[in-house]
Amino acid sequence: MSSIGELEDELERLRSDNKALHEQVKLLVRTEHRLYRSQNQIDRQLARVRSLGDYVLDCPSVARPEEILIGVTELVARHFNVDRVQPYEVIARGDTMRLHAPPAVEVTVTAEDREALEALSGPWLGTNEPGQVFSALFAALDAADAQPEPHPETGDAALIPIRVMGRLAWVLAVRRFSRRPANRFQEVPNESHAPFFMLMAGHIERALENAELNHDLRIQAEELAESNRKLKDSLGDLASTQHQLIQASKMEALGRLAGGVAHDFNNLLTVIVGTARLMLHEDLTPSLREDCRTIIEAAERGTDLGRQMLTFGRRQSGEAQRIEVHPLLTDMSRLLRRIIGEDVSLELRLEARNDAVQADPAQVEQVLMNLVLNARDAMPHGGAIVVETGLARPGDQPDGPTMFCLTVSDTGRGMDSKTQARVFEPFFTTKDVGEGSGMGLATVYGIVQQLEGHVQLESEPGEGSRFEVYLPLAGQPVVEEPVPSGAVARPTVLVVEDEAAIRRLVVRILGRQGYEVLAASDGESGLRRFVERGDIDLVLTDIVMPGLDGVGLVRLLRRRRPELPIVFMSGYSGDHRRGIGVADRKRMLDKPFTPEQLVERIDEALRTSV
Amino acid sequence: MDWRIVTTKVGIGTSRALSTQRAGTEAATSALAPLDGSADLLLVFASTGYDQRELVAAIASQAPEATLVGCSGEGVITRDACNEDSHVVGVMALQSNTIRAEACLVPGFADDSAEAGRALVRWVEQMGNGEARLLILLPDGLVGNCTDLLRELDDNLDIPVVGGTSADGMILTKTHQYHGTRVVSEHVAALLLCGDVEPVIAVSHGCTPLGLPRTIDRVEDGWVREIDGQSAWEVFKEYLDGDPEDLNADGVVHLCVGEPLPSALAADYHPHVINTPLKLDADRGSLFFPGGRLRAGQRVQLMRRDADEIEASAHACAERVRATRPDEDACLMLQFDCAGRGQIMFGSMARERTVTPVQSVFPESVPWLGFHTFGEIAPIGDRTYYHNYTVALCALFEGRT
Repeated sequence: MSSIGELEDELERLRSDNKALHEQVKLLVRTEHRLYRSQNQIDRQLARVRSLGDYVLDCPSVARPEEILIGVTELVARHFNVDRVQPYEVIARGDTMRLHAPPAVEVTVTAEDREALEALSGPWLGTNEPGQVFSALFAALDAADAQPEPHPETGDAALIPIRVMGRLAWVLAVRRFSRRPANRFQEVPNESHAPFFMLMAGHIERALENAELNHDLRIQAEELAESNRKLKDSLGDLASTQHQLIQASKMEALGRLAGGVAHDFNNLLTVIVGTARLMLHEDLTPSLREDCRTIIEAAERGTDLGRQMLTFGRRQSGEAQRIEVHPLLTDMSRLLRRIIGEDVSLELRLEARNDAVQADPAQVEQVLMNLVLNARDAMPHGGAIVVETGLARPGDQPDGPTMFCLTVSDTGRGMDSKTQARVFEPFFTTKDVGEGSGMGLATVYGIVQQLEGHVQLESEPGEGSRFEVYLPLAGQPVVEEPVPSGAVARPTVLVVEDEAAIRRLVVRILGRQGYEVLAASDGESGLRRFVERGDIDLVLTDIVMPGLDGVGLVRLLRRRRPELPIVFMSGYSGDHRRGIGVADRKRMLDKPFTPEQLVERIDEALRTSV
Repeated sequence: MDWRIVTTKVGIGTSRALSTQRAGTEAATSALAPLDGSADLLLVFASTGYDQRELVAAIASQAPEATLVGCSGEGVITRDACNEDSHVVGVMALQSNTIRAEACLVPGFADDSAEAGRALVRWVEQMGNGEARLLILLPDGLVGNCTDLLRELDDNLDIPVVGGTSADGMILTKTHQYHGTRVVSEHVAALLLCGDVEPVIAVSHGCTPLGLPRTIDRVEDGWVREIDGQSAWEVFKEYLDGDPEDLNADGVVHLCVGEPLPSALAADYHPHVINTPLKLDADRGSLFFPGGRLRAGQRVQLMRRDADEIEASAHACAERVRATRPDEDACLMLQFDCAGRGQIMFGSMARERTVTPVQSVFPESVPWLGFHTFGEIAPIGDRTYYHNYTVALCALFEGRT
């Protein structure tokens, strides 16, 4: 049995043990407390870094720097106890640096603060107080902040510099005035957060650099798209030009064909008409005389057709001269109004400041006549025709010279694209058989080409048509010298013509008129006859002949006798007449011609020659 | 077979937007979406990062016809998240033709909590009209004496009371109570549910005793001056790391005081009801315990929180609720969880350790809303207690057994 003393000793030992155990418990609980606090610290850092990770993951889909920085602003505001987080774009020009925040905050940075700002290698975290670094900057930023209450003079502050491609591009300014209630998980930014802010700044920098690269890539992509679009347009233009070239080639071929046919046609008609007219001088029965006249009538209608074919083929004769178009159009309009009928109106809008072109007046009249008649035919139930003039460049030649533009538009039925493609072809017509020759617009085309102009057509089915004729403007008027006159009593005429029928006809006609007529079948033989005789008063020559042509023959003859009267005759026009002088051109005799025209032209040439 | 038409719809919406207006609008419209845009009741819990009046106005404007009631909290608990950000708001919208909701703000809680309790009794008797089934209380968490308030309710009403005190992100400065578009402090926000509804309430904590029982020597208006002849602060500091100069959040949630329960009640709950100090008077070495129940001469037990016990007891608590109607889903679950048991205790695992163990007991379809409080209100036996460090769960079942 234990004594009281032993029990007291045991009690004391237990008390001592209990105290020691209690101290151990305290130590363990304090340790546990420390662990919890550490865990809290780690958890806060983890939450911030996790948010930063989410932000970084979102960044690739963000393109604009403003959006990237808004994300950062929210991140800082959510995890730190701050009153304001604001990104400012750094605008440095020369000696001045400004911080800009949309929409209109603009703060100038002092030289001292600028130096300190540019020297920052990481975030600056401190208390802003007057006189300290960045105090002026924060004072300016606080003043610019659109808060209803004025800010206290001091407060916690942080600046996080953000560089893009090595350049200080943005500054994230953080402010706390102890105004906002704290959340136990939101800490006031301090030096312990520098690694986090540095990490955040690095991510922002990369995001901004990516955004800038993305922006550049997008610009390049847009430029490429624009380039592609232009290439496509160019391809379209090329296709259009190719189409025009094909069309022009086709029209050129048709023109040559028409001109060639017309030449032969005219030769035949010259013989037919001439012979028939000579027959009328014979003693014919009334019936034969009537037949002769029928032949002549028919041949003369053929002559009109041949002339139109020549016009299309740019082989019609006609002397280009400087003319003013407006008076001509005004005169023509009176005639046209009678022709087009009362149910079609005709309006003239003569607005060209310069209406002088180099053309044969008859050609311009023909163009206007054909276009107006074509317009009228497109409006069987009436409508309106407008004739306008102006100065412009052809639509397909934007860089070409300014030209005189004659426009004839109507409110008629218009044309589809297939019709437009063929509308200038000779003998192409949409009219019923017998109602049109199909040469009207072809003639227009031929005349315009001959005058080195352009003709363009705009039309839509049901929307009317608009023909634009572009003619080169004429230069200054040339004063022609008067031609001296003279006469020959009993002239000798040398006829040089490779077509035997025509040659015989001409010899007969001139012989009947009392001329002494010599004939040659080509240039070489004509030259020999001229040299042999030596007293030739006039040479009548075809232009186009095998071997030495008419122009070459005349050139040789004029070396011997410069004053020698010459009359050219031809079924061609245009290029074949190059090399012929102005005076000779005026005496040109176009095939087919009548005996009267021949004699008149020969007499005229002899009268006016020296 | 019992046929019953379910006539109560509940929607939950939350937002973490930094913009107050946007957050209120987002949360309200999300909550109202399943209800086709209109509701009878809006229950709101929000953190204090927002402008409180602007937030409540933004929410109320989405359903002007609804009764709005709520308070500021430490964080918001929903099915999807347990969030203690500075900017988070949760809204529960309820539409029912069997549950009637009445709400009010009771003034004078700070000055005379017992009188506030009596005023509340009168209001319940008037508004309940014999149909009152549950009183949800959201008192200011920094002032007042919840024990006096609850005593008046227990003595005069025969309906269960549950709830949590409003919080302010552990700033311990000012909390807010909401009713309609009014936002006040030092009030009690009250929500009375009447009609065809039955609540099931359970509560648990996870604290374990530390050392021997102690005796409180002196208490003045909730301020405990001395324990076992030492200043209360000195007693606590012995267990706090780093010789702290003030009672910061870490210290607040580390230690607590357990008030022994009568053995009859302890058998169904735990030997102790938990009280936590919220404020420190460093000059006098005193600690403020907001529950108002501690008194001089009372034997108390210093307690420490235990992470595993917290998780296990919360799960058991949920199991008890579920067991009351195992074959029936609640139309709404409310969770009032202590601010000291969330992120500050479990960090980034707060949801997994405190919310998931509770929610996993119930089907995912059950709407869930709660908040982190400065104190929980829940009955033990036939008395309603003010608690700290607990989770109070309240399941609302439509229809009565």
